[in-house]
Amino acid sequence: MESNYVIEAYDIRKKYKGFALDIPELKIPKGFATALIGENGAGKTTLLNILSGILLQYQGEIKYFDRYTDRDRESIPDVKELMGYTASGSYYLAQWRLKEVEEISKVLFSGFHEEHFEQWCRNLEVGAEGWDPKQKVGSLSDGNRMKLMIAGVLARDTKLLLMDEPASPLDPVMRDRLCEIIREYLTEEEGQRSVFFSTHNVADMENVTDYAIIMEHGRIVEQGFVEDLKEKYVLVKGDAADAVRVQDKLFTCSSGRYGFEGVALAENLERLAGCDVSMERPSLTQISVAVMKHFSRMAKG
Amino acid sequence: MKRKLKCYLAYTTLLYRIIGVALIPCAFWLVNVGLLWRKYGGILRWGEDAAGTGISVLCFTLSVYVVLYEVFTDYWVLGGCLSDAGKGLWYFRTSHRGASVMGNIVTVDLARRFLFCMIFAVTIFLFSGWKESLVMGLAIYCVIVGILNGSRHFDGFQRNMGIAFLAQVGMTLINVLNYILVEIAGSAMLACLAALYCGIALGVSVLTVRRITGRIRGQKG
Repeated sequence: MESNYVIEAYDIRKKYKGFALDIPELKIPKGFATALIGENGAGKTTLLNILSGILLQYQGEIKYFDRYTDRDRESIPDVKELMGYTASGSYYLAQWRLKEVEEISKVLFSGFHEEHFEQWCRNLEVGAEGWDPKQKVGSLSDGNRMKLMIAGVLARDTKLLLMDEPASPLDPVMRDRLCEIIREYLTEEEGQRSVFFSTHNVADMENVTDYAIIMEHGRIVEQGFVEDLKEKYVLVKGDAADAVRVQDKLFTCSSGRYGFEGVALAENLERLAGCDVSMERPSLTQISVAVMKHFSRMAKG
Repeated sequence: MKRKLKCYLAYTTLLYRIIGVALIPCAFWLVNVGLLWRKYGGILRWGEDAAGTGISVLCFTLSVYVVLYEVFTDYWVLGGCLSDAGKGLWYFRTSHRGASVMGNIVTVDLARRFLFCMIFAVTIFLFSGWKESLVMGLAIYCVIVGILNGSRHFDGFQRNMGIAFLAQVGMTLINVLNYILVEIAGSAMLACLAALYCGIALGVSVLTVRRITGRIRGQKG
């Protein structure tokens, strides 16, 4: 039976000084855009580097495309050919020109199409003229370097994109364009392609996120389809006078002079009986912030 | 070999190939030829006066500059590629061909360095008849490649420059040591040194390729 997951990982562990990544189970659904959400230092980059094969010293097992193990990733060409990875900073050498990025990509990946690459560079306006083969990577801004990496992975025949903070260096217009690109990428092969990206700017990527995984201090603290998470949590608002009374009944609560706002678990709503509050469907950003705050507070004791 | 060259050409920039691989080594060679020409007046004219006065000093000086140049310009191509923080090899890790492509690049790079060192040494020999120059050529190659295995762990330009200057000191000491050994033990020592440096050259070359491809495959070292 075909699995519904593009990546399945078990008991992933990686230790650094003062930080430990510990993920008993991770399943990334096939055919969807999955967001890896977390604060700085939560372990998002470490996890993405492990999954992409950049970081090879770790404990645990990973299964790709329901067929290959992480050992196969290093020995069977198909695995890395099917995965496109963009790093949080540029992995192209600063002295390379765009033409050299194209040349080396052609040598490294059999599914790399130079005409698509040039087209994507023009499309994403990498550099002043879009596609200027003589332009050096080192002369590009952070945002343009990210666009160049995105053009590089989109020019290949992939089934999975792993993207580390792709939106961070981009301007708001380009972030919106990135969401469109991810959506187009997913729809092109009807459920066969998947995207897994990390972000801490949840709001910018919310409209493209189908599935969310929230990390805190190296652990996954919440995950699920966005629609399910929006059913699981409720945004609660009320007068400032009621804030103290409801505070301990909410998952998180922030109050001001005119009122309070907090997120509660839907299953705990009966605890608010008798309180004068209004309820709304929360956004993914509100859920993420509430979950991260809650688990961060728990970790601090 | 065609594939190896293709990888090398794709990885190195045109500017590096023009300046670093062609222009400056040619300039070095021409300076070398100019100085030797002035001293000997042409090639294969040494007759009974092979390896006249001062040739060793002249060649030692040039060899030190060759080492400085080779270590210094490596920063341009593979500088910091072995460092933990450097992302120089990340792109290669994302490809199943990454290790073999980088292996090809480093092999061509080593072959280029070996050729440069030996052309330098053979030119000296052809002008002066000084057999030690051939051993010196092998020694230069060993010092360069040995130092590069260390310098590539550092990202910073200044550190790289410092290592290049230290490499000069190392080359001078090796030149002096070789000179003393050959003076004491004669041509038998020369043959021993040639065999020794051939072995070291082969060893450091294999080690260099293995370390860099091993890094792409995730091995430490």
